Amino acid sequence: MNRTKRKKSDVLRRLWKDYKLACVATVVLGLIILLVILSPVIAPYDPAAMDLAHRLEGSSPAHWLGTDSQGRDILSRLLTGGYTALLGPLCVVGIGLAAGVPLGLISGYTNGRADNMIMRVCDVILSFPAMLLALITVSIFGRGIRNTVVILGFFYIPTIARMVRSNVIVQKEQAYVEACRAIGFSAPYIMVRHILPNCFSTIIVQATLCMGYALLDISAMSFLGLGVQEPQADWGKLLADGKNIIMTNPILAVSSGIIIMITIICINLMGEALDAYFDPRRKKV
Amino acid sequence: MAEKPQKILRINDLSVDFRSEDGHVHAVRNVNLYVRQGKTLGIVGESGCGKSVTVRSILWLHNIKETKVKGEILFTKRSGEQVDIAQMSLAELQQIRGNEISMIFQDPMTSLNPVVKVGVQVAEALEKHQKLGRREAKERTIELFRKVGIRSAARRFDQYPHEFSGGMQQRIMIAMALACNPSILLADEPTTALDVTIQAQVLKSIKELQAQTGMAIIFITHNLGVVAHLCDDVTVMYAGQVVEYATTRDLFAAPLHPYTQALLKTIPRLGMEQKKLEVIEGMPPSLKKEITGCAFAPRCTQCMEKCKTQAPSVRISADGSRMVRCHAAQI
Repeated sequence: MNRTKRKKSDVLRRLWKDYKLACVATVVLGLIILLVILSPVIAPYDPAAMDLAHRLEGSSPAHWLGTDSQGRDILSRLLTGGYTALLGPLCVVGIGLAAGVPLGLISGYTNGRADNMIMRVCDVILSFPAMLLALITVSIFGRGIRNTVVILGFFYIPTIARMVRSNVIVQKEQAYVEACRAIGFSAPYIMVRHILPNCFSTIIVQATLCMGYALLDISAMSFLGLGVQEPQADWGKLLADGKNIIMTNPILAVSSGIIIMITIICINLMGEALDAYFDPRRKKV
Repeated sequence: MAEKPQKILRINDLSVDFRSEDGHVHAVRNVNLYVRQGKTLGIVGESGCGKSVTVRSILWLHNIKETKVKGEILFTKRSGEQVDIAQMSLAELQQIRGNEISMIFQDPMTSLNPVVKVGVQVAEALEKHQKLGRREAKERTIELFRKVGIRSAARRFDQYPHEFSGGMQQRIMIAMALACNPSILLADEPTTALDVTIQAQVLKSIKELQAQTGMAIIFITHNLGVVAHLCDDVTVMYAGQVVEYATTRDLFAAPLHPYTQALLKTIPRLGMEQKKLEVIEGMPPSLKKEITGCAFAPRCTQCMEKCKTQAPSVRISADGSRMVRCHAAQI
């Protein structure tokens, strides 16, 4: 008991020693997530309540970050806007992983007709700019955050499937796979129990990178008016709103831009650290 | 059981062709050999002579798309039933693999999955073939670890391959292979990647375990010392063919094939006068082309005119225990 405890603190100390930046990033991201979760309690105003008497106000003790063109409190909107901006990418990447990982596994391991079919479909999807496709599909299926997330998630599938496939192809040639076959394991068992765990490090890294991209994509979609709808707040949409009033009250654009930037940097730093952590060449025995 | 019962595995006329971009490679050509129950068969020969390919055929591990395999691999199951592995479905094969016949590989470092706990890797073989529950499988695994000479086995169960030395990793591979009490263990140069002291330890363990379980072993090696020490029978392979088959005693006492004779001469001996080591001049022939005459003829010191044009046929001794493929050999 005592021993495992000591071990745990050791692990934390080592993590801090090796990955200072990532640790800071984790704390910052944790803080942002905490603030967003607590936003219904700590937001000073109702984020949708308009107060036309106090439009476009600058920073003041009443409104720390001022108000937007409809007199809504920017700080409150920023806090609640984090919900979609943080949960959205999670769902997008979740969808991408849920379909991309099995497809990549099958594709890489079978290496035959199934592989060809899956990869050619992926090629077709990847040959178009994803944003453009997402724009078109969202306009067809109707705007709104749910459609945006599902469709963006769909367009993340080929990227993830390809990445997983390339990993599986490398792993498949490793001696341990032959050893597994010599023990009598079936192909699906080897894929899931033995090859997949060897791909985890790259999958995690790719997932964190995709989170950053997804946040940007959702923001962009909201910016274009397809994602989050009025009066709901979202960082991307706040940025779009801020653009209109940037000359009169730049706080909105600047603050939402900065929070997006900080979040993405934090996620990417974590991804980089995970990459280093899972790379066996860097791991000392 | 039509065959004599003591021959647990018989390979008849096995040929393996690999399809590659620049033509076929005839890696194994008409190999015949057998393994006696509970005995050890050594397969020796230089790199690329088809030793590994032959052994991998026994478990049917080749990539089916790129390989053409002909011949019979007759195996007597525990139930006494004789089956031809070459005719088996994948599902039947997966019942045999790791259960009745298992294999250990040359490099234990890469043959273990680096991200799965070693105990789990052994236990899952038990879960699959013996239908054990997780807890039982774990207990059996720890028992196996002790048996193959891994100390503090219970603690070692939860460690990863990189936390073990090469010798210990090979012991884990052995534990994995022996988990289901196979009747044949295929060992593909299991000690080549280990240093000499560890080699001796691992070989000793293998021998002890064989005495306990009564399994047969097919042992691929370059090391003739290991053969003398460990094997009951020896097969010498050259260019995808068996050139000589004999009991170890007979082979070392009186090698019949010129290649075997040359191989035995290359062994450095203690107390040998300071002189250069013996070598066999030349290179083995390419396996992409058809070979006319004897495959060893270009390197053979006893080569005759006939050897270059006419492939030697197999000569078998009266009691069937010895076989040689040479024009010059007297049997």
